[in-house]
Amino acid sequence: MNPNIKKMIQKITDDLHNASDLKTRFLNIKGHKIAYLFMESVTSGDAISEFIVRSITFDIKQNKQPFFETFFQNLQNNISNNSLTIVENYSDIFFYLASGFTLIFVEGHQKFLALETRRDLSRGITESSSEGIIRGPKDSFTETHTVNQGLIRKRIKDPNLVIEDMFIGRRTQSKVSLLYMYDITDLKKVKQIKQKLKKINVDSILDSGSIREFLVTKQKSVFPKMISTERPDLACTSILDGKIVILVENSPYALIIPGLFIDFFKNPEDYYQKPANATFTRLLRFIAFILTILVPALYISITTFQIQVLPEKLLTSLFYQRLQVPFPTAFEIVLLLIVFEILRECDIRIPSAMGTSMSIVGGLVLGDAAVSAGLVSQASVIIVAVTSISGLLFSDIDMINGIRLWRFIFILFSSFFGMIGFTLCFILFTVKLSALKVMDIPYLSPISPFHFVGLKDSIIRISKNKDDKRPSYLSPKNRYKLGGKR
Amino acid sequence: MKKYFLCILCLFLMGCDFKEIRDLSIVSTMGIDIIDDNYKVSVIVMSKEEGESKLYEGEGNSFFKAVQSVNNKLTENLYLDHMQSVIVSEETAKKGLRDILQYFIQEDIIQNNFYLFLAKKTTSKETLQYLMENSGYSLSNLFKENNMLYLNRKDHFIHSFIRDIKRRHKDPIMHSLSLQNNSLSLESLALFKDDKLAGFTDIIGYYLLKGNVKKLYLSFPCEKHETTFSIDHMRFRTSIQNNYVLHHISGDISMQENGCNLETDTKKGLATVERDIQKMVQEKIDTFLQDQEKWNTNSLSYTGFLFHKNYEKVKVKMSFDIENLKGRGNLHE
Repeated sequence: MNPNIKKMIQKITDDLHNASDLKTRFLNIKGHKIAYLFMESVTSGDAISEFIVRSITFDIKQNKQPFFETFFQNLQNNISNNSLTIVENYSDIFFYLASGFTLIFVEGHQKFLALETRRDLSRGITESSSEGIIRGPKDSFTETHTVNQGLIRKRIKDPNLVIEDMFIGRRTQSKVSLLYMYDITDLKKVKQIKQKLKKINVDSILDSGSIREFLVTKQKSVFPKMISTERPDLACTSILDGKIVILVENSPYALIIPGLFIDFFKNPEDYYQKPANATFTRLLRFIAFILTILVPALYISITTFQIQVLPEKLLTSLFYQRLQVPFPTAFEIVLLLIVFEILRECDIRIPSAMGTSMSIVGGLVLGDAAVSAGLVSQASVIIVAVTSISGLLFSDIDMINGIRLWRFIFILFSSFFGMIGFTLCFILFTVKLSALKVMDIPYLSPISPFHFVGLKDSIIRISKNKDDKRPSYLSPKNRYKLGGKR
Repeated sequence: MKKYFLCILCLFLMGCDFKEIRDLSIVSTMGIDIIDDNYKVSVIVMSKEEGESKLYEGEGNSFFKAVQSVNNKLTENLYLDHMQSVIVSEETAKKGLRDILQYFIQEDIIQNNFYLFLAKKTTSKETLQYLMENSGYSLSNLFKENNMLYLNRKDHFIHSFIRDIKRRHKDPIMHSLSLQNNSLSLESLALFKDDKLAGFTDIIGYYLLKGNVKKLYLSFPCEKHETTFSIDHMRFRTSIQNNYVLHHISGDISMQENGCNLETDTKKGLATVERDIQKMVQEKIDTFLQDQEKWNTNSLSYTGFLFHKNYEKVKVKMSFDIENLKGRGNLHE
């Protein structure tokens, strides 16, 4: 650190390659040379004028009797700002500048003051766009890290809620927070995650999705091993069950670890409904899961290999439908599924104003025209529609992608080997799922291996006044969540 | 990796054949005749014009060759797995159905069950032609049309026929179709000994003994007139005790009396009605049992018991539980 402020600022400017948003101002207060610098793009001009410039030029200037030994101490103690840090390392300068701090240098001192003058760049708390519910809290995480922490802290007013921060990303220096309950969560699992996070050595972490790959190193699978959610209530429920939540700066998605297979059939809204209704909805999701993965493959294997099992009337109907179609059934189904995936991708990417017209053209016009032109049969359109609609019941994008991949694997096996291929693929699918583990917990828990307690909140949901224990496969320190045993 | 590759390659050897529905000649009904020791096979195939069907024929000195001959006349492969019914002629049945059944079993066609019928006093081709002319007419309609009997469809399936051939104390049966006055109906019951046709019997007697009659029309003279009874919603309970086959009949009886003055509102009158009905039912059952003896067949699982006990000594006892007697109600037309 150079005590000469002009040289110091020149060095910073050079190191930042003359960044256009770096602003500097020099002052002379009572014979002391002062300079303050900030990055215009991330700082608030009002905050600088109100809390820094005013303090320096007016309050300190007027103070005829300095209480403190040096001018630097005087400045440090009189400046009106709630977040003030003394920085002594040159390398930290860039972190503070990029984080919206204003740095104050005083001639002759080898340290500087960093004052928070962050510009509010958040979009505010809005309703969740990907996990909508009818009944229950509507707020969702935002890109602002402190807001996200606050959304959890305001729900769990317990001193045992631990929030641990660390910075990951050589260039982005993104703040990553680990949240868990000290008296519930298995601390060995927390340690494991911390070690994995510390090992991450990449340039950038721009979203929580970026660290997923670093956390799952063994047994890679297309199915997600952690839940990604926008909903603070789901994050809180998971924390209270003994799971660990990871928040990443600038990401509106929290990661919940471990994410077991059964967790993707749950929705926060299930806990705000009557148990019977929630159970019915979960069963629907389970049926939808089976339909979306198996229906196209089953249709192909039955209509091209095991025609015998078709009822007579259905066979007649399919016979006449398929007379005009020039393609084999498997090709027809794959073609339609790919068209649907393209439509879905378009629907996500294009502006919402164009969404309606695209739905009409894509869904109605294209579907109807394809059938009229004899390119596809009505039955195939129905099969693909059922498959696609069932797949939309899941909100986790990784789950959707996992389902999509396995759907195509099933189709491949069924297209070549019929029902035998289908059965083989089903065995392979079950074996793969059963063999998976998330942080040493079997992925199919509590179904396989069977845990009765865990089953109370799985495909079925029993009443909250009977669901008294946390599932044992999470190894919670405190198993009881109901009654006086705390 | 090599192991996985080999495993996948092995799957290609499993012999499952790929077939598109549109590339099949789907057969709905098959007719089998034997003329001059030659098999003649006729099939009704689903046409590519919706709602229409076509009749194809083939001939050969064996059933297999006759089917192949039909196949050769078609552009697409003959698909027999969804056949609804097979009709065999009287001549064919007399010569035995072993070859035909063996073909169906070997080709795995009997995976899907289908009806077996016998064309009495006509060829099966003529029956098929009738079905073609009356497009949309399905043989399964015969069961719906016959409102007298609770026809157990399983009795008509090829599976039951083959199963009965295999059983020691039971002979197979087949329903015979009669094509008269441009109308198709279930006429009588063909009794088989092993795979060969033995003879025919009255269909009602068989179903009375099986307890599968839901409505029975009986008429008998009284003085100068004739009274018609209709027993509706009949329910049977059959049991065997010592030398008796006991039938308990319950149901509603409708009656049309033309001046017979039966006095059914009195206990005495009702007893007369019951006695007359019992007599008629007994006659039907006796006819069936006599036919069984005549053709040396055993078409009911418990007729074995009857012969074992010496048929002459066995009596059929009936008891009645008439719930409702409707005068001039549900009349026989």
